[in-house]
Amino acid sequence: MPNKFLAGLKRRTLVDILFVALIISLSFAPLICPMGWDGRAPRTFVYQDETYCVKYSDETVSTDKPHIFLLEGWPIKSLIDVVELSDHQSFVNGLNLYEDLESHGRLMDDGLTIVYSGSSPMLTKSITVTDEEVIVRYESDQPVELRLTLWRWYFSAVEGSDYRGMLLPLKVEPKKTLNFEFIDGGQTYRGVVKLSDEPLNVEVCRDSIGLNKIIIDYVGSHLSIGIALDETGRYSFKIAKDLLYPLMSIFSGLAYLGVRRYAFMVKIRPNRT
Amino acid sequence: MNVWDIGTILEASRQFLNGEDVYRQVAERTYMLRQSTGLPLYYHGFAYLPQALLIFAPFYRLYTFIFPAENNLDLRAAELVLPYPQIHVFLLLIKMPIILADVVVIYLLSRREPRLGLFYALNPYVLFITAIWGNFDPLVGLFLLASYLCFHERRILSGFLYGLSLIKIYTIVLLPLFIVRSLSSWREFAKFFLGVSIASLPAICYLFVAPNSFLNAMLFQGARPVNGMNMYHVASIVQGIFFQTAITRVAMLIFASALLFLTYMVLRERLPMLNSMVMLMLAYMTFAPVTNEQHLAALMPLALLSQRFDRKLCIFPLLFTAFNATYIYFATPIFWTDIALRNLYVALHGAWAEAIGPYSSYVRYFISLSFAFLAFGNVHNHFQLQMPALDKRFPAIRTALPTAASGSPSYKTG
Repeated sequence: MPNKFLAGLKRRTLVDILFVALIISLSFAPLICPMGWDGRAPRTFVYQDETYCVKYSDETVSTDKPHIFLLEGWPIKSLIDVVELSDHQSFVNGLNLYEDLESHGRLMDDGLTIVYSGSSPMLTKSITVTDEEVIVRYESDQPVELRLTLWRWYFSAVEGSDYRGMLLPLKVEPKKTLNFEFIDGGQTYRGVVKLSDEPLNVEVCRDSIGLNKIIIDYVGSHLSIGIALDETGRYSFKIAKDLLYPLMSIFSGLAYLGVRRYAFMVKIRPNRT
Repeated sequence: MNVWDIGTILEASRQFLNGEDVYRQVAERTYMLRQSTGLPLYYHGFAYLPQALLIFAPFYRLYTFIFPAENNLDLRAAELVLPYPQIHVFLLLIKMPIILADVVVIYLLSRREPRLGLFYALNPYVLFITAIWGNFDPLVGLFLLASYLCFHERRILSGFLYGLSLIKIYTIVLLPLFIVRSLSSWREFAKFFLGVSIASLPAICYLFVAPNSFLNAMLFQGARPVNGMNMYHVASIVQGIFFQTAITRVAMLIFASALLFLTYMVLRERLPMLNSMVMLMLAYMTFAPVTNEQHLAALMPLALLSQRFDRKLCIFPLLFTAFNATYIYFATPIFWTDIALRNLYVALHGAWAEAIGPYSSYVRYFISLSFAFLAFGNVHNHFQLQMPALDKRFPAIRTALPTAASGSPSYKTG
């Protein structure tokens, strides 16, 4: 009888260990980076590859459409905020893209396509990601007046200047490429905004802390904005927040095994009557 | 109130009383979602067995009798507008079946042990699910409890009550147990099967009248992406539905394997009926891909009868809601009566979100883990037969644990 009991006890311990192992395995799910486009809800999409992460209409902030991040770090990559194209402060023919128009996003073979309805003519935005850049295209069947805003908290320079102390409006020479810089975690990142057509007007805005907005005015029926960073793939040691999940599961699992093993011998739970 | 779930019952009751197919809208909206987004999304509509409509629709009809005009309630609107006093009357009526179920549960438990009835009556978790949120899992709990209590004496009634409990389809995990325990004789099995069949007549009707939409809605329950207060909660943090779907497939495999194994062990070891039922339901909540906060309420009445159920389990769903549920679920309808009150609640919630926002996903995961481990440990406890002490330092164990005269556990008591 005692041998049978001991065998049963060992079997139960093995089951506990297997259960803990299962939970720990599952806890690594957030660290897996599936490649390509995916979605969470009818209006929320995300793209991820080895370099870029693009969030469209993230649950916590519904106006970032899209918000572009760089994936960097070692051993676990974390998100570096690059730039956000905000519908909240973008306009087509004077209509606010977020407030005045309805947007419907759909995943297609080549990327994400968003159709804005409620305006005439109709406007379509598509987002694709290549090895080098993230491309956001605005298309319409007729020429439209587009005012687009690119945000970052904060840029350290646009076209080589931080525009400190300069008179408003802070105009930038309108051209097809705009260079920008920002600092994150003590490192300086350099990027470029490539436009398919020359814009009508480019302005930058700053608040008391720094440069936070690039405004692009364009008239036409097709505009492609490519955003690329120089020197991606740096390796800097960063503790990703997502590591907390496996750590929590390991801690909880060990606590569970400890309780299962020692509580039986230490504390006798009386039968409830 | 749980705005979405109550809204689901409201919408389905209205459609049912208008003679519409309640499942067709769910199927159509799911199709439209998928077509418009390119994502494998589901519309979370009425996906319960139609017996639920026969329970709730009469109370909705009573509401429309009391308010023949101006009775329109749209709980799915983006900007929620709640007419008063209609919303209070509606909520009272639509929760009435659940409240009555709780009363009967208290009575049934008190008959066996007054302290159990008192515990159930005053349990904050039960009060929260019934009175505040209005989920009908306590109704399922009554049906399961009553089915168990009359299983040996009134087989047809037991089958009927079990059939009613299938309004939340997760009680299907108990079907093999009931079937095998009914096979003591073909007559007893036939009685139980008859009871289940009678309760399932509405579902059988729908299978003939609208099979596609009905099965589509039921399929949703089996294909929902991982979510809730369980060990898969961490997967809901990952980025997208495609990846979650992949994890869900793994979760379904784990779930099916665990349930099959435990059911086999329960039947092979011929564990007591009560222990078996509690254990299989706990196993469902541990391994199922979707475990919502209200699911434990369906187990509580039965589990309280069991000496091995750890009552601390009902703390975790309460904690989970504090970090998971959207604020509207706690604010409505009281804080919607007045603009100032609503603004106050929004401000309070904003302060709460700012305080715990960065940490809420970790806290939710920790609560889910704690629940999973405790529930799994409890499944173990229900499995353990009474056995002699391992260590001679604790001789009290030998005398403290009751055994039957033959030394084997009794089948009929928990």
